[in-house]
Amino acid sequence: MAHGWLSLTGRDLGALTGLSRAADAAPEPIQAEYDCIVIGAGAGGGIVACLMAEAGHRTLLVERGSHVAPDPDGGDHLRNQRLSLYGVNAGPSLAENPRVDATGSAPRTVLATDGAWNNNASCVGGGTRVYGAQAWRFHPKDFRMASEYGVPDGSSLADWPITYGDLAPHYERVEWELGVAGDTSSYGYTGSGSRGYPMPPFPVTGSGVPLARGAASLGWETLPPPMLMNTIPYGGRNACIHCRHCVGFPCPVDAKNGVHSTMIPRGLATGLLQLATGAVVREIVTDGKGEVTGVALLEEAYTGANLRSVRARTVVVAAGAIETARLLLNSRSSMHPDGLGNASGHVGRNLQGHYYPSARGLMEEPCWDGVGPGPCIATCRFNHGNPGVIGGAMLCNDFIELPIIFWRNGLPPDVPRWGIENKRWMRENYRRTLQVTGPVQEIPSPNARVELDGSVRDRWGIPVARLSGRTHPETVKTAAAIWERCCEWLRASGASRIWGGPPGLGLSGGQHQAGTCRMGRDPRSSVTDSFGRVHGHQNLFIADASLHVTNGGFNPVLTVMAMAFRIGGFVAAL
Amino acid sequence: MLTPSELSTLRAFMDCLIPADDWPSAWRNGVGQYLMRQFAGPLRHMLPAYRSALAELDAESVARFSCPFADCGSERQLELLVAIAAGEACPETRNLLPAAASHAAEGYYADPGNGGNPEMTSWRMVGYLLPGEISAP
Ligand SMILES: Cc1cc2nc3c(=O)[nH]c(=O)nc-3n(C[C@H](O)[C@H](O)[C@H](O)COP(=O)(O)OP(=O)(O)OC[C@H]3O[C@@H](n4cnc5c(N)ncnc54)[C@H](O)[C@@H]3O)c2cc1C
Ligand code: SF4
Repeated sequence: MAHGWLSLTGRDLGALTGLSRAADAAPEPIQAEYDCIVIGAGAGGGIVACLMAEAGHRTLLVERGSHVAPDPDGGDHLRNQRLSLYGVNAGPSLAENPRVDATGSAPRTVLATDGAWNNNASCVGGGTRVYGAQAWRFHPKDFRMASEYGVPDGSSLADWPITYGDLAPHYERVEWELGVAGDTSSYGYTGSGSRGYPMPPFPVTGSGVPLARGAASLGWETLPPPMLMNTIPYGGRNACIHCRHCVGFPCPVDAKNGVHSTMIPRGLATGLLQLATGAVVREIVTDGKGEVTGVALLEEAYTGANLRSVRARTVVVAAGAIETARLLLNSRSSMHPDGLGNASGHVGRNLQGHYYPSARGLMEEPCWDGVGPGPCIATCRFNHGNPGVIGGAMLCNDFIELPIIFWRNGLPPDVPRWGIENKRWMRENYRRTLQVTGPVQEIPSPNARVELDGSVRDRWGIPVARLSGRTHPETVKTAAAIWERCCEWLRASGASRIWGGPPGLGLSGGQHQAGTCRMGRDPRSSVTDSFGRVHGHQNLFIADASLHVTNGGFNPVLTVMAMAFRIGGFVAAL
Repeated sequence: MLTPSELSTLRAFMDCLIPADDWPSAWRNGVGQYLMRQFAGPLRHMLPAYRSALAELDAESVARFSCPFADCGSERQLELLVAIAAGEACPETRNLLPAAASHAAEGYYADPGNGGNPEMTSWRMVGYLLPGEISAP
């Protein structure tokens, strides 16, 4: 059955869709040698690969997933990157890629449909293929958390080896070269000299109206969340048509600016970049002196394990915070018995994501107007300066929630889960519920870890990631304080009742996973230097969220991308 | 997969979880179709649990009302389910309740591509599709 409800927008989706661009051409054979190999075609890897090719280096971009096309019917509400009950829409393939959840008393083997797997995505574009595309710069203080707050017992809170100022020009490149819609007039903390954004922000929609009123009554300044999306045609791509399933799905009209639609096509256009999909890097190869010479990869991963080695002068790892750590740990040799870059035992430690306290409020009148993507009003007032806690979070309303996600997550605790009262609640309140939420800056713990599992292997026989430990208790404290602010905002906006609750102590990684290969000045307490170069290796770099020393009180991708521009520029000039 | 009598018990069970009002009940909005697909796929492992719950429901209904669950009328069905939820009867059905409520909601509120919610009826009911937005078949 063709649902075709998207065509209700009155636009010809056939003409607008990016489907043809995503079609796989016959794969070019992988050569024996390149100037550079980049592992992972996600936020970090897609950018570095493009910059390397543009600088004249023959570059191979290896991606274990495949291209993902948007679903003309809108998408599967039970198998997407936001509700993965029975499958995922942007990878990884399930049974082939188990992980071990060792956070409880008995370790369990889990697939990517289980929250404990901590999935982001695994496809061309990585997380950016299906992300929500909020495009926040970190706060200047986010780069110096230890100096600002001190180091709580048992935590590994530390300063970055770079400042906000080091990253500012690279943030600006992401904003202009990929395309961000936003409004800098109220973006106070980024400092002066900013060029602004290339596109106007998304409008305040139905749910934003009461929240704007509420914030004004509290004296809180607000701004539209910056988005890596086109509000007007930009970069040869379409403007957003305001559909209702943005987060977790590929964009039906190619208005979402991920690396799959911007930097990777730009790199391919040079003729020097080759993208190999369905290829899994098994390990990074070193010679007898312990120097990196290339990678060992499994080509045509889905038809059989054809292991081969490919040489390169430079190797850049950008496989996402969990898989990058796993890959380094799996790259063992007599010179590197504990894995590459792991001489000081830091690879895989400090896994962090974001705690996401969320509060919901019931409004007198419906405020939902169906205008996607959804987040339209934010405040950065509580990123720092919250009494008695470390750090904080940006707060904003969330993406349009699918009805089934609302059923699972949106009902107050006292509404029965079945029966006429449940149905009445869905009927009357889906359009009257507001949600305010925020990514709480985690206080890292060295015990929140990615290790290798001794017994469980993936389909190709490679030891899988084993996740263990918890965030630091200070994270829970900050989350509780931020949850209070969410409630305060809803109350001031006229909510008659409020529910939700701050999360308890646990491990967090998931879509915002970061921190497992921190950069730093001291090789004894970090994995790479400030350009992502792995300590002790001239030609091995990391360029993904693994590098984050702390993960900010903001969604992380703009920082992953800005870092990739900084690192890519550095490596390309070597 | 299920016998006709199991099917009618399942239908009555699902319609208790999402009853009709001026919008259709679970079964009328495709939850049966959804479940049949899931029982042949990812929820295959749940079939035995459903089967024993359905048998238990019928036995209890016969014991209480001298009538199988599907035929005893919505008031009695509801009365029995409330007793079950309170832990007073049918332990297997009680164990299944949270999962069954979730499956009913998945069929009812998810996209038609999954077998349920054929005309996106529930989306119009909650307002995910606004009045006037009717699917182009
Ligand atoms: C639904 C969703 C919503 C999100 N919303 C936002 C948002 O609004 N704002 C925001 O800032 N962030 C958001 N994120 C998070 C954002 O996408 C991530 O922060 C970002 O993608 C991380 O970039 P990365 O380069 O570290 O890793 P990734 O983008 O995950 O890329 C890693 C890639 O490496 C590949 N890979 C892994 N191992 C191997 C191997 N051995 N061989 C070959 N390839 C390999 C993977 O398949 C993957 O494609 C969202 C993510 C999701 C999934
Ligand atoms: S809301 Fe806009 S950017 Fe998001 S998927 Fe829909 S059309 Fe694309």
